[in-house]
Amino acid sequence: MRISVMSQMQRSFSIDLPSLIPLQLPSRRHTHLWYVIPDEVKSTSLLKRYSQLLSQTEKDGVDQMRGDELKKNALLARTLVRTTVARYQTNKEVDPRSLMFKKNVYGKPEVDWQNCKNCNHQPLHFNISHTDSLIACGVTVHVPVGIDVEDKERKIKHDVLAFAKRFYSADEVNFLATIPDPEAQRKEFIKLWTLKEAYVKALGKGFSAAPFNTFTIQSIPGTEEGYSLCKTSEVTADPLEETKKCNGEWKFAPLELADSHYAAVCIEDDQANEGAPMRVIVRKTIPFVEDQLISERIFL
Amino acid sequence: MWDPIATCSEDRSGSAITNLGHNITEDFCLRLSSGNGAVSVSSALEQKDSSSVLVVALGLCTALISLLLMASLSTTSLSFKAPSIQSTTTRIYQVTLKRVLRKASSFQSISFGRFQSSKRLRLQISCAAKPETVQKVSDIVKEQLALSADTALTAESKFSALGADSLDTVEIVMALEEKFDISVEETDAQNITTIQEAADLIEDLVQKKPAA
Repeated sequence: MRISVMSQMQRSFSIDLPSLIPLQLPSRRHTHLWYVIPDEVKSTSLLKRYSQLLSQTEKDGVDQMRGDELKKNALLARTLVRTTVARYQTNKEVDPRSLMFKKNVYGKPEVDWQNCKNCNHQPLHFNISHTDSLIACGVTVHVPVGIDVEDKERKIKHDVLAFAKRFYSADEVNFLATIPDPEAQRKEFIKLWTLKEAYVKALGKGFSAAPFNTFTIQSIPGTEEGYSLCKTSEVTADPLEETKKCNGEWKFAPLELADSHYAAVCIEDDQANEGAPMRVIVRKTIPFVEDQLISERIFL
Repeated sequence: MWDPIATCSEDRSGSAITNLGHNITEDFCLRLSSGNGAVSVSSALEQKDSSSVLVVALGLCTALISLLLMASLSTTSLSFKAPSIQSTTTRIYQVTLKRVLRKASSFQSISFGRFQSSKRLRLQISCAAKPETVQKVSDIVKEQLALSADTALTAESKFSALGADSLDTVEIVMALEEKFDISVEETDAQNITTIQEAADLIEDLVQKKPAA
């Protein structure tokens, strides 16, 4: 399903941008995942319009990036966040330029509703992740969300198991060690990376709050895509003593995007949603131009 | 986290003066980076109210700096504690830094900054890593991020500005561990954001290693 305002863009030479098509907030337990493919955004006039949406700090951030490609991707990332969040303002049209952002005490970006004139305060959470060739933004209500995307073909420069031993938990190393084919092993390593990264980002307390080797993300037996989080207690000299606490407080959705990327979404499972499955709606977008519904998936 | 509040850069005329007025309720730090040459710095501190303890502490600090720098030191950090001071009232300090002598090759910058940590006044002097270390780090970063050989990297280059994501940063840290035979704590690893910070951490860890 495509929604296109392409013709309006092509005719318009003015500085004013067309209106953003509003969106319904996701319901509880839903994550909306939006992504942009930088290679599909070629119009320099469109990019110029995007840069008009950014705050001065964001523009400085874009300028700091070394090289045109990195600058463009940084611009697209901020544009994606601003336009997506603005579209969820269902009561009125909000100019994406007027949105304000701040960081929580640990550095996680969030919407600064108080300082936004003209915004309704909404219980909306977002998180972005990007690679060279894909930029994604996840949106939820009421619960924190973390996402991570990685290129499927990303080469790890070190030996995968050595890398895992250094950074992952013992159980995860054991799991990876059972995979005989190096290529399959690399893929599972990357999938695990996205899941672990998504969790840390959803937690929003910085990396030191959850070092990678203090928790295990493992598949739920009997499911193809179910993953659960288990925390290892203090690492003791005797591995048998390590106790694990596996809880259902965090839900995971591993995905593939555009055939080229692994992605993971992690949300906090608050009391109101106990037991209910997690739903992820994936859409590809070019801000102000078009949206395309890609998939709607359920994760148990 | 390093929060520079004033930077004084190289000045061939023989002196460099920086004035800053600032509230001090947190730790204060003076960071100097230099080439292999010795730089001697003397500083005079005045304060607008009458707390003599602080003046003594800072005077001690600057005397030490001058001594150490004249000897072209190789340690990367030195810290000492001033007696604890009631830090509930804010004080405004005027700091005048005068570079008195300059010996060999250029010194790059002096900056005054704050470490946001305990309220107890603690002065920490650290010298930035040697240029060779910075170069080795740059080479590893270029390799990990697949940058072209002629990409100009400086010590201040930020990993994120070069397109590094968290997986890249971790790989860079692993490569540095292998190259320098050190072991980096994960929290330290995630806090490295520039080439300079990586080099400083490396030299710190190399120096702390027990003699082989």
